[in-house]
Amino acid sequence: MTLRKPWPLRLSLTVLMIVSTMITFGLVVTGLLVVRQPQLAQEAEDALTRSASASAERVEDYLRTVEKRLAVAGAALTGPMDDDAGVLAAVVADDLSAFYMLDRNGFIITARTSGADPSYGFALVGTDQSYNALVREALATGAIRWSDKFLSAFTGQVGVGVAVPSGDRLVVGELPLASVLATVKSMAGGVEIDTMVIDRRGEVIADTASEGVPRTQINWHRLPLNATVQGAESGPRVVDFNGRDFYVATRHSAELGWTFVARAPAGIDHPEFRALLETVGWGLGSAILMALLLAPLWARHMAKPVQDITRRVAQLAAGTMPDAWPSSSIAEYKALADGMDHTGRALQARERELSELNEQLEARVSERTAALSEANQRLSSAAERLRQTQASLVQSEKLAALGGLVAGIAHELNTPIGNGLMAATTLCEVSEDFSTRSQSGLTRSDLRRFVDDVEGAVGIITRNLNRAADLVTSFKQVAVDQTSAQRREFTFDEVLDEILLTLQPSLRRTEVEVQLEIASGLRMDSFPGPLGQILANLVMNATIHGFDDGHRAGTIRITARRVHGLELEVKVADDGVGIQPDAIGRIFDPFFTTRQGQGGTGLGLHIAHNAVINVLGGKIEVQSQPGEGTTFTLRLPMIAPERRNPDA
Amino acid sequence: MQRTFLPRTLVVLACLAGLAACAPEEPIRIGFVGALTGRGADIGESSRNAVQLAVEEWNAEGGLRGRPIELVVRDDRTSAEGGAQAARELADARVAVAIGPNISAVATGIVPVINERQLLTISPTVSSLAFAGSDDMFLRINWTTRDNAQIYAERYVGTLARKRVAIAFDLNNEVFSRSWAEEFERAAAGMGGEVVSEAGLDGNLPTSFAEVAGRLLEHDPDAILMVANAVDVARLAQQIRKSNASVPLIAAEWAGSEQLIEMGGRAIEGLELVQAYDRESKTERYTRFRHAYLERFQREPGYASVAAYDAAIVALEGMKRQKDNESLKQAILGGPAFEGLQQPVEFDRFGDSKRKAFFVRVRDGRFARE
Repeated sequence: MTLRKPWPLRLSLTVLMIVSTMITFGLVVTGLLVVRQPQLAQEAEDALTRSASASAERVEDYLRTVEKRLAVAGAALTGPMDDDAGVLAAVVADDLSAFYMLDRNGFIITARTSGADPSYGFALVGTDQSYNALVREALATGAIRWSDKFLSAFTGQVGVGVAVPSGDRLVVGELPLASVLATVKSMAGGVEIDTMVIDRRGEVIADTASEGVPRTQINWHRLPLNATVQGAESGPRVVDFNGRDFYVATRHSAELGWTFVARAPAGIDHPEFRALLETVGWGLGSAILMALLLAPLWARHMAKPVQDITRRVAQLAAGTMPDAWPSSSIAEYKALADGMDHTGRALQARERELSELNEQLEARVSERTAALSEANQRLSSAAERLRQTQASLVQSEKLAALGGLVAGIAHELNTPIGNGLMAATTLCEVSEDFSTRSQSGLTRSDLRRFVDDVEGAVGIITRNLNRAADLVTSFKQVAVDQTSAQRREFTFDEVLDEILLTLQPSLRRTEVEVQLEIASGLRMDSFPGPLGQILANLVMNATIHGFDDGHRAGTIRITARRVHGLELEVKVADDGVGIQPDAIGRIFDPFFTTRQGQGGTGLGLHIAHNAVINVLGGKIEVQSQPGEGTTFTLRLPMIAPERRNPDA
Repeated sequence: MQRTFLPRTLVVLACLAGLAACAPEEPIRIGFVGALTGRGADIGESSRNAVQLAVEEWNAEGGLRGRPIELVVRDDRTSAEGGAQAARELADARVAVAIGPNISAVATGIVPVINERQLLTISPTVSSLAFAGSDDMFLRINWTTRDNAQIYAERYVGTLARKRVAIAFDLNNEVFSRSWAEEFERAAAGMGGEVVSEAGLDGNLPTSFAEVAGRLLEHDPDAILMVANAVDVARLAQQIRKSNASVPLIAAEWAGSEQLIEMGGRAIEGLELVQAYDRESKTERYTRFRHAYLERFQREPGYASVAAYDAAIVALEGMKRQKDNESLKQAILGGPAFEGLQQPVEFDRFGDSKRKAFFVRVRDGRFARE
């Protein structure tokens, strides 16, 4: 949805005024037309009906006089005699184009045409008119008969005729169409009413719209206009007449057989309707003109206060207090200006209050900031001390572990060295005994016994010293690993054996049995020292916490296997007391111990955790249910990553 | 609201414009020019009736290309000046094509106007050689006076052996009647016939007709041939029959309107003439036309009706055939023959056409085929 540029108030007021003027006028015009047009149509129909009737009556009257003239002439005339010339001239008068009298066979007895040489009448005497439609009908019916439009053989012109029987003869008069037209025209139908006379065949005899004879007419028989010729005259009708719409009223003259059609332009061409439209058009035009002239001025007048106020509001927004708000004669504008004035003052007062409050707030903030930075300083030094303490504790734990190791070594060496010493002591005694005996004379058996004893003792000594030497070599390796934390290749079971060896003295005093299930050939390129320390810590942790310092009987099961190709999974599982759920999430935290004050440092598992993560690049997890034992699971890469924290 | 005001206003205005556009389609106008007054009013009216009938029939079938056809009628008052004025009025009324006039004398007034205004005009009956063989806007579906006079000579001089013929010709339509008489004379001479007397006939001087009749009868001709309109032929026949009851009377086709008999009475019984249509045709098409015409206008269709109906067919079918890039004249002259009421209408490159001949005689107050 795009927002268009908003309209200025002045423009929208102008448009509002113009549009409302036009809409109002449009509604008025529509109403006027809706109400007025049917009235006008009705009025037009009434006028047309009157006009058609008047025309018909007028023409009938006139033609009756023609009939009478012919009847009189018929009685007066005897034959084609010169005496009759006066009568013939009187009958033809100005309006007839031809007059003739026929015998019962249709032959002309006497004749006269207007205009032409009177002698032409004589030429016509004796000619046969019996095929003429009018003559034939009049002779057949014996009644006065008016013709349709026809082409006269006498005048060579189109006209109408009337045949009046007179005794056994027939008197015929022909009228030019102009005579009919003049009669119809003499009945001024009113403004813009035209009257047309149509014969039985639908031919136009006269049309007041044409000068002289009709020049443009089609045959109207069967066309919409003629629908009423036979039927009753009915309501207002609109007929298409030479491409234009007309109201039409018709009247049929039974006497003549002709139909009189009065018409007036319909719709927009109807004079009164057009006058109404013109009036309305002028009104609309004037209203729009006035609206166009007045609307911009009025809109300017209306918009000015708003613009003034807007300008001052902009000033106010920019921080300047306008000097004076405009006053207006329009109540709302005045209220707005007063309101804006009030708002401006209130804004200023509030701004002052705010800036004071702001200053106070800044002072308080700087005080608090100083206090905070001091506290922060203190905290930082405390944390530093804490870190130092933790480091030294870790170091002492390591030393303690080393101490345990030394104690284990000493203990382990004690047995072979003791055995060797005892054998040496025995050898010494045997040697002294032999020396004593040799002075008293030696028997052969004495010598053999001595040799046997010496061999036995030396065997014992040798074995035990070898054993001690092995132990020392082994311990030396452990010591080197533990103290130097060097990376090398080794097999997992070597390291485990050495560690268990060092733990032997501690474990021997307990009821705990260690079971191993180690896959063979687990070669690693890693850090054997930290690995051994981890295993030692886990085993000792199980002994101390799971089996209550070894007072409880139980099993520690160590399994190791290769998973996922280059990873070693080591599990150290005991069936001891397990770990309480609230403690399990914290066992790897430094200084977390359940034996506070009983010699636990809370660093054993922390160190093991750090070594697994930081040195060996592995993971350590714990699972435990109270009463069901604890399982530590280690995942160690068989090729350790580059060492990240050599001090851990 | 403010944002949508202008588009809505435009929509309302567009709807109003649409309403105006929904008004009925502008009709296609075709013109008719012919004699509705004056001595040619008989064939003028029957031509106009036929054209009006054709237009009404087409309109009843849905008009032309969906548009109604409006017929604009103008009276030529049987005169060249009246014809010129009528043609100008038709051109001003922007008719697409005009039909008419019937008479060669009127055509002399019309042809310059329609050529100047480029109004294609199809005459049903004009036959004067003056209008044949010219590539203009004037098309004719009738034969020429030469063809016509040849047929008359063959029939009456040749076949019926009326070697000595007296000729009366209309002085008010000399462009037709004099050339007709001359062509006849030439053709008759080729068949051993001769024109024994010739008399000009002026319809404006009806008193002279008795004298003309006397001159024609002077040399005791085998037949009297009248080249004039129906009114004048009727009048002249009346005068001839007053003094001679037996001489065969022949009229040129022009006089052969239905009104001739009404005007001539018993004086034209036995009158012979040649017509370009078979008035007794029993084809379904012609019968349907004849009934429709009779019912519509309460008169029998005459030769001018048949010719004018064919002219209307040419005009309307031509407009139907007309393609966007061609003129109506090209469409009419370039296409195949049109199916006229009784015979095909086919134009040569000058817009001239030919008709078949039928021999007719007045018998018991009506035309009868021989």
